[in-house]
Parts: sequence; structure tokens; C-alpha cells
Amino acid sequence: MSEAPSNPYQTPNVTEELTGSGAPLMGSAIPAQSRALGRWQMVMSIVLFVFTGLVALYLLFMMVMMFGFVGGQGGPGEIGAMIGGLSCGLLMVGLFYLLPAVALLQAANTAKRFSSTTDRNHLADLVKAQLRFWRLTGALVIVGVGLFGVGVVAQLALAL
Amino acid sequence: MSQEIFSNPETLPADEELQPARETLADLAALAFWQRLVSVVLFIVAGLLLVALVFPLFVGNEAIGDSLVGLACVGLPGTVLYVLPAVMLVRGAKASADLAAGRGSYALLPFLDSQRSFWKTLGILCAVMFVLWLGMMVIAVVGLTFSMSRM
Repeated sequence: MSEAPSNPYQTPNVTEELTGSGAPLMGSAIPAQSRALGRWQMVMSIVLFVFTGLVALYLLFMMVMMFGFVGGQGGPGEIGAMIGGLSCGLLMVGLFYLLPAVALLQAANTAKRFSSTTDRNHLADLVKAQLRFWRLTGALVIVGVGLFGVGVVAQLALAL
Repeated sequence: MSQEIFSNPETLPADEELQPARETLADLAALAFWQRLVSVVLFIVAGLLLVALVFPLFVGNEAIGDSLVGLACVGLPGTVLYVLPAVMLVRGAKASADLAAGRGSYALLPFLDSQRSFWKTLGILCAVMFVLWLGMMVIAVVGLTFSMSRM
């Protein structure tokens, strides 16, 4: 058995304890860490869902306002452009916020499942779900950087 | 031996039983790659943000005081907002790579800990940003009400 720390309030050094025979500590720590991971990912996915809903509501509100403003005088071309703009905005919101929120929710659920059943299969599921989320985020970051680059080039072309 | 290994998690046999399968190791290596990529982008965004705020100081077109105030109020919090998650993500990527390198189940706990730390940091940053936003809204509403009452 390892020696008790001299300061009882000192935070235990996890790495140090794992290098010893520390199996019992690790046994309780792995489900606890996994549960905490699932909890925080769940919180962040809810934040993303709420944010998605708010942005979608804002876009719909803007459309209703503009429709009221233009509707009386505008031709079908203007209304069509407005609906096209809104659809594009909603598509972007869905792509950049809703998809990651769904992937994060799945990752949170697999982390929770791993915390209740700590076995190799559930570990594989957890890693797969985390990878799915980060691959999606990485791809969206690349798309975002690309769109930003296109925007900068277009601004420069307009300015010249 | 059954897949259901730990009926009582307190008696976890530390090293052998949670050794990730070969396919999981490949997934972990890919996870490390994507996490590193996103962290690099976060560092670049933070750098660009700082450059955009520091640049006017050297150009000297506007008052240096305004630039310094902008740097203090927007630049530093903005940098923290990007750099802190980027640092945590680098740690997460390193832990994923360690587990992928076949360091056994002893690398599993640091892996889970680093992932949890990243999401916890992000959650706390979100809460702080929400409180700041709420504070600004309250100040704006109070200011508007005050100026309306004086008209």
C-alpha cells in the first residue's frame, strides 16, 4: 500500500499513483472521468442546440420583418431573393451548429455508456464517437476557412 | 472471458483489460490528428486577432490610446477565448496520441482527463461569456432607459 500523503488536502497526483499498483484508484477514476466528460459534452451540446434555435429564430424574424417591409411593394424577384437568402442562412446554421451539436450529443451519450459499462467495446464506441465529432469539426473548420478566403478575395476584387 | 469486465469498477485490473483494440488505436491516432488541426487553427485565429489589434499601434492613423483600450478590452479576452481552448486541445491531442501509441490502459485515464478538461474549460468560458453578454445587455437597457428619461 502506498504511503499516505503528508498533506491530507493535497490534490492526489494521478500520474504518480498510476505508476504504482494503483489499480483500485484507476478503477474508480475511469468511470468518474468518463461520466464527467459525458456531462460537459452534454452541456455544450445543449448550448449549441439553444444557439442554433436562437439564430434560426432570428433569421425567421428578420425574414418576416423584411417580408412585411418589401411584401407590399417588392416583385417576385425580391421576395425570391429573400427566401433564397434565408434558406442559405438556415443551411449554414444547420451545417455549422446543428450537425456538431448532434455529433456532440452522440459523443456525450457514448461517454456516459462507457462510464456505466467500462469495457473494451464501449471504449471503442467512445473513441469512434469522439473521432466523428472532431472529424466533422475539422472539416467544418476547413470549409469555414475556405469560405473566409473566398470572402476576402471577393472583397479585394470589389475594392479594386 | 466475457466482454463485461468490471462488475465492480473498484476492482479494475489496470493494464490488460482495457487495452484498446487495433482498430481503436487507429481511431485514436486519427482523433489526435483532427484535434491538433483544430488547435492549430485556433492558435492562428488568436494570432490574427492580436495582429489586427496591434497593427494600428504601429500605423499611427488613430489615437494610440484608443488602440490600447481596444487591445485591453477586446484583444486580451479574445486571445484568452481562443488560446486557452487551443492549449487544452493540444493536451487532449497529445493524450490521444499517447493512448494510440499503445501505452496501454495506463494512458486511458490521462486521455479521459484531458478530454474532460477541454470540455470543462469550454463550458466555463461559455458561462463567463454569457454572464458578460447579460451584463452588457443590462447596462445597455439601463443606459437607454436613463437617457430616455432625461429627454
